[in-house]
Amino acid sequence: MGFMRDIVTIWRAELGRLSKNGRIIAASLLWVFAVAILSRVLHRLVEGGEVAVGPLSDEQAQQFLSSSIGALLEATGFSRATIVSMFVHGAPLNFPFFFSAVMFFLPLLCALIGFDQIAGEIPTRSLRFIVVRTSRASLILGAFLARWTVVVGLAFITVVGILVSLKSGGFPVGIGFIARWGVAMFGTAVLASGTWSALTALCSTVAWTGPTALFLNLFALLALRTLRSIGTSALLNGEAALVEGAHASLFAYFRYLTPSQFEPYLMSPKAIEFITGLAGTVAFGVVFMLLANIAFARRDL
Amino acid sequence: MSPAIEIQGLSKRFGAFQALTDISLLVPSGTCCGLIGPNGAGKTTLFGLMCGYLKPSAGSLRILGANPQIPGSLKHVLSVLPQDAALPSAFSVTGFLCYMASLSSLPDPKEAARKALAQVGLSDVGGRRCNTLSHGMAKRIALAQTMLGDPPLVLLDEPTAGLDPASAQVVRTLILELRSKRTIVVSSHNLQELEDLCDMAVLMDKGRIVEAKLMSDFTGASAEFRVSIARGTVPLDLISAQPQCREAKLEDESTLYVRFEGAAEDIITTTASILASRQVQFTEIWTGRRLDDAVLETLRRGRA
Repeated sequence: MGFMRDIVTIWRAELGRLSKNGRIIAASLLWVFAVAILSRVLHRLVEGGEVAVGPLSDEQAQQFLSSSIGALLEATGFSRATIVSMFVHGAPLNFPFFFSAVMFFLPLLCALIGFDQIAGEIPTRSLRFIVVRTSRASLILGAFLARWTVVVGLAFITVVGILVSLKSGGFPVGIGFIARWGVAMFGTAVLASGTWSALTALCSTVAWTGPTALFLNLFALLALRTLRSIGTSALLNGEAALVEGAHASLFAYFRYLTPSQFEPYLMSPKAIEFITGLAGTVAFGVVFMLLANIAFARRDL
Repeated sequence: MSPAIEIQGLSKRFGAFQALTDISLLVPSGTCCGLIGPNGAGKTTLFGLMCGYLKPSAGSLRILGANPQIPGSLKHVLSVLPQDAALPSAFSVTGFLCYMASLSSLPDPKEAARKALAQVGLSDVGGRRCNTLSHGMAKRIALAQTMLGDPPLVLLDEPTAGLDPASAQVVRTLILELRSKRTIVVSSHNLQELEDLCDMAVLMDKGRIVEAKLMSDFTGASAEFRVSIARGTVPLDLISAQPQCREAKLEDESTLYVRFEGAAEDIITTTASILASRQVQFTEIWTGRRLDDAVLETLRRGRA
C-alpha cells in the first residue's frame, strides 16, 4: 500500500516538474508541430482524392497487396491481415505509412523526454533527499510513469490529429472507423511508448550523467533497429532460398529481439497476431523495467 | 542505552580506491555524534553507507535496527542533510517540502512544510523556485526537510559549510533544538562547533576510525584542567596531595596543569581554594584541551 502511494506521489511530483521543464515543453511542441504538418499533408492528400483505395472487398484488398505498392506497405511492418483490414474499412493509402512513421519516431520522443530521469539527478545528488524516504523501486517506477504519461498525452494528440485531418479532408471518419482504427492506433502507441519509455528508464539508471544516458539510449535504439533490419533481410533472403530448397538463416530470428517487430501486430484483426504483438511488446517493457530496477537497486548514488 | 547505529567491519571500495577500511562503530540512541577528520578521511562515504546511497563492499550496518540496503527500510527512521546535494530544480520551496512530507507519509504535508519553513526562519520564501535560492537559503531549506516527520535519527553532513556567520548560527541553534529529541550524527570541519554541539566524537583518517569516544574524554574535559597563573608560587605538593589528583605540573611559567579522576567541580574548587590561601593570583581556569588540539595530536600520534 505504502509502495503504491509512494509511486503515485512521485508520479505526481515528477509530472509537475516535467510540465515546467523547458526541454520537455520544447520536445512536446516540436512533436505537435510535426504531427500538425503530417496531418496537413494527410488532409491535402485525402482532400485531393489521390490516396483513396477503398473501401475494398477482402479479395480486392488482397489483390491490391500483390501490387508493387503492396510490398511497400508490407515493409511498414504491418501484417498482411492488418493492411487488408485497413483497406476493407476504407482507410486511405497513406494511412499505414503515416502511422508507421509515427511509430518510427516514438522511441526517439521517449528518449528525449526521459533520458535524464535518473542519470540527470546523479551529478546534482538531488536523489539523495528522496531515496531515504522511499524505495528505489518506487522512485524509478514513479519517474517512468510520469514520462510515459507525457508520451501518452502526445500520442493521443497525434491520433486525434490524424483522425481530424482525415475527417476534414472529406474522408468518412465515422464512429466505426474511430472505434476500430482510432482506438487501435492509440492503444498501439500507448503500449509501444511504454516499452520504449522502459528502455529509456533502463539507460538512465545505468548511466552517470544525462548526456551519457541519451547517448546510450540512442545507441540501444540503433542496435535494435539494426537487429530488426538484419532479421528482416535474412528472412527475405531465406524465403528466396527456401524456394531453392535451402534452410532459413538463423539471422532471421534476430528480428524478434526488438519490440518494434511486435508493435505492428497490435493493430491486427487476427487474434493470434494481436496476442503475439501484445505479449511481445509487454514482455519487452517488463524486461526493460526489471533490468532498470535491478541496475538502480545495485548502483551507488 | 540501545545503539542507534551499529557498524561492524564496514569497508567500501570504489574501483581500485579503498575509501573505508574495517569500520566498526556504535552510536548510542540520544547521542549527538560528531564525525571529524581531514578531507578524504571517508566521512561522506560513511554517511552515504548509513543512508543507503552506497553499497558496502564488506561488513554490515544497522540503523535503529534497519538495514539501509533493504529498499524503503529507512523510511520514518532517518532524515539526512546530504553534502552538496542540490535541491531538485523546477520545484517551489513549498512544493519540494510538501513532496518530501508526502513521501514521509505525513497527514498534512502543507502544514508540515509551513512548520519546517518557520523553524529555519524562511517562511517568506515558500513560493520561490528552489534553483533561485542563495547557497545559505538552500542549505537551510535542505535542513528544513530533515525536520519533517520527526525521524529519530538525523544525519547532517557539513551543515554549516559555506554559510555566513549569522546563517551558521541559525543552523547551530536548530541542531541544539534537535539534539534534545533525537540522535544526531553531524560532520563538520568547524571543530569548535562540534565541540559545542556533540557529546561524542569519532575521528577518522584515511578511511579508518582513529578514535571514537565521548567528547569530554576526547578533549580531556573530564580528566584535566589548566589554570592561568598571574602571580605567586604554585604549591604543587599541596595540589598533588589531593586524593583525586593524578598529576600536577607547571606546563610553563604561567600555566598549571592538573590531571585528575572523579568529579571535575570538586577538585577545581579545592585547587582554587589552595591557590587563594597561598596568595597565588590566577586569571582563568579551563577544563580539557581545545578539540582541534586534541584532533591534531591524535592524528599525529596515529600517523607516527
